Amino acid sequence: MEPVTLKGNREGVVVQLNCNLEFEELCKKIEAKLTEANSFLGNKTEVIINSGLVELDAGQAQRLKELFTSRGLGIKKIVSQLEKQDNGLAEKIISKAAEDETQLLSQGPTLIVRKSLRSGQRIFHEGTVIVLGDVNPGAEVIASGHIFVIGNLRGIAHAGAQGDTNAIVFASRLQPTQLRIANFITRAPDEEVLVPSEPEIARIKNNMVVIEKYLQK
Amino acid sequence: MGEVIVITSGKGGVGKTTTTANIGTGLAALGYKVVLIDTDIGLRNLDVVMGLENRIVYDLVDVTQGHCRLKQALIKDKRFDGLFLLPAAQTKDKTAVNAEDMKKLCSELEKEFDYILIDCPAGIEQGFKNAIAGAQKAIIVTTPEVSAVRDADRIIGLLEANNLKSPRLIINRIRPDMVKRGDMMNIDDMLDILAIDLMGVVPDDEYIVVSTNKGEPAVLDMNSRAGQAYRNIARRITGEEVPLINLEYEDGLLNKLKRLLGLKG
Repeated sequence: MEPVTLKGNREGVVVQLNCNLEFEELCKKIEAKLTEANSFLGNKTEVIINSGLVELDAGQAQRLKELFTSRGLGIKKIVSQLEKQDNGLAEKIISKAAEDETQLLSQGPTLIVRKSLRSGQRIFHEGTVIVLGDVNPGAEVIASGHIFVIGNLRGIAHAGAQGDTNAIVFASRLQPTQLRIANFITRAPDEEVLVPSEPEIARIKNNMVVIEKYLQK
Repeated sequence: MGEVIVITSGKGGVGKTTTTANIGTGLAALGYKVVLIDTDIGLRNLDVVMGLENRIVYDLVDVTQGHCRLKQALIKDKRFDGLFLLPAAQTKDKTAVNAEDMKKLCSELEKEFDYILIDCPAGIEQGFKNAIAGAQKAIIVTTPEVSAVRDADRIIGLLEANNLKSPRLIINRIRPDMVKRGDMMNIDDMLDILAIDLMGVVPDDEYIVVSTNKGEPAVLDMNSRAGQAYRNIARRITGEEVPLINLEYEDGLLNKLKRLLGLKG
């Protein structure tokens, strides 16, 4: 992972930090990156800092603030991905979903989406995505890890988008337009299909995407 | 302070303009002061449906560009004193107006009218952005077709992203006989996907074509089923609780008896 990456999202410019580095070292990398991206950032831009899986302390936050103001930039807020994780709830679900497959536990940070995704809305996340709501036709969820939809999955889901064939897709009602896992693409049969009445899981077995009932009888 | 409501759908031809004309006329008939704004610049229709085409002197673009005063551009309806239309320009395009203009316009009209209804163009581009800019509430019109519902879903997402929360739904042109046979999406199917409040269901009615061509909103015809549905929707907008009309077609004495005896829902 790059020590410093710049991304734009709806809220503005996000500076993603890899805080596993020594803080002083990181500051140097940030400075280098800011010089390099000077024209991209413009003047007086308010950026959002994402400190990844590490919480910054007050001193470090202050230091970053000075660093950015000296370059004519402002800091809108500092966030960490820890806030997006819901106290291990995600991991509990995963461990239940795949009891004997413990390697599934390490799929990167989890993004929890607390709303329904409507047509035209798209979520991309490096890690596992949990949607607490529906994914409607025309909406897409793309994750490098697993995808869990606690609701109707009627749109497109792509789990293991960076090639992880261990990734799974879970939905309370699994009826996607298209289902992709790693580089496998499947779609619903053309004839009328029955609406599933219970939660299901899709995963790759023997080079095929198979759909199983979640609740084993 | 008036209420600014945008009527939108994403897909074209589902009945936004007809709905705007009918709800507006319905509200005016209830005694409210109403103004209808046509934001479909370049493809204006609302004036035709209202039967006011021949009275247009100034239009929306003239107002926003300062060629005339707002009062001069408002056309008074021929049936109701409290009903006005601000027509779209026909010789310009959607870029002639911007979101700021619309916000200013709406806040000005708010002071004087009870309801400001904005007829939104199809699509999600500049015209749509203009139409929703000044609105506080939104009504989504859809028909029982997968494509229309898909577009409605997209529009709801876009409205939410623009802070127009909890839009309400009007299902237009439903044919109860086809729904009964399973050949048409039913109301529950649509509500299941869109997950928003239902404001009304308007049955498919041949009379709408006649009324549109004549420039006389169906809401004023007491024999039109669609007109009845629009009257109810107008009352719901004012906050009144009105039950949905029974969509089943008139069906013989025997069934009526059965219903009376509680043998039939």
